[in-house]
Amino acid sequence: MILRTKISIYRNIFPYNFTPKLNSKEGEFLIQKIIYSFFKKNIIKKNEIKKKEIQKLKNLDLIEKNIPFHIKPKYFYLDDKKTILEINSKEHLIINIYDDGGLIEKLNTKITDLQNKTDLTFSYSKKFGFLTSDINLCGYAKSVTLYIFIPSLSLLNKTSEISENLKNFQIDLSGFFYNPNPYGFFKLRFIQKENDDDFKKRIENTLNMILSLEEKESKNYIHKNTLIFKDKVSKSLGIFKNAYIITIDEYFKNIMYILWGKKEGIIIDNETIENKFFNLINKKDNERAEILKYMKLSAKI
Amino acid sequence: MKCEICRENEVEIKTRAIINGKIKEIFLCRNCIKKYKIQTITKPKYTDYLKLLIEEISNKKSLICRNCKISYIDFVKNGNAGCPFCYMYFSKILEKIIDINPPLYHKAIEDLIYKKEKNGKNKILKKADIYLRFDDVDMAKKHLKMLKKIKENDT
Repeated sequence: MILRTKISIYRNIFPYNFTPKLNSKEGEFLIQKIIYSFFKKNIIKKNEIKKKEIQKLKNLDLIEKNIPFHIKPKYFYLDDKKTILEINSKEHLIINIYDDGGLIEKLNTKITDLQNKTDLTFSYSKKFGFLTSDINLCGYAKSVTLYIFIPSLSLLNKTSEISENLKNFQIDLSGFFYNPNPYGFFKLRFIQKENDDDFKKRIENTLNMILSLEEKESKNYIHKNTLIFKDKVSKSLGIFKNAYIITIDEYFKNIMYILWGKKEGIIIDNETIENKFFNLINKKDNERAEILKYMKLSAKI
Repeated sequence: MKCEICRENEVEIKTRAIINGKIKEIFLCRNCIKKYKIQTITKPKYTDYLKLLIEEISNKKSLICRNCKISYIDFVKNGNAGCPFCYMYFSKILEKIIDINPPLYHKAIEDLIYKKEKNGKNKILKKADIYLRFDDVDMAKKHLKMLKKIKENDT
């Protein structure tokens, strides 16, 4: 089950130093320069993201978390709110684009169109491609992150083995939201090093491998433990419907069984889940509320 | 057995020495050791490699990006480059690490100051033309000399 796809491109403006070595004057100038180039083409209006929202976006892994502290980055939404411009964070300009489900091709064309619209001169050399402060990214300077739900592989502790194997192909599989036990919520990160067609094939092959393995293991698990599985799903739904206070650990455990049950067709009750999500969002529990907002998206799929 | 250098005297010492950056076992006479001031190694083997390693590191220590002053050692340690020119200063080493067919883009650093003529040779553009190709003239002036130097060293 693919919950969300995020594509990011990392660009630096020539001939300025990369952000770790950028002084504050140049930083400010670059912000204005980049904003103006997007503003000129009517790509952004005054959609600067507020401070409060930035932390939320960081929690949701939609923008870079670790950035050089001496430069103040700026963040902008594009009209659809599913495209975020990061200026002076890890690189001079990072364009993040995301959507629910696995729409890699659609997002890819959208992000390249956006890049071509600007008249900025990016740091690019014929030998190394687009130059970035992180040498692992240089070349295409593009990454694709897929947020996937693989409960049975996670429950059977098979993800660490897959992750080790994928490292040989420079693919990163790690848990998101809640570590060390991510309860089936994983992200797959690919860094482009080959042409577009080969890159697509690499993503497709890896995804097929993981998702088919997940399906097989899920069927095996449910076949062997039908009653136990149904019981766990129903209990989790019961807790969700009636509990007033639950710990974050309990929350994730329950949500894993609910989504898994929904995926396998055991739960058809869509409304109750969504209503419950909304009720919990309204409570003053910021961290959980943010996660729940995200979960609501996944519950729709 | 005769000495490996003079081929006259009998071998008195079997030793290991660093020749052309590689550790080799050689058989020498005392005269040649004195004559050519060969440093004989009597310590355990790992020190030989350590010496080589130190030698290599000290050679690369001198590699510094003239623009952002980042050294090659820092660059490798952190995996972070300081500026686009780091890639040009460290290009010979980076070529061995980074194996990539980069995507096409119409504004390459190399093209910003050079123009290909009909005979295939690169000609440096006039200053005014170069400034036109940059968005920021002050920055262009600042970096123009450096770009030329890097290109001259490459050729």
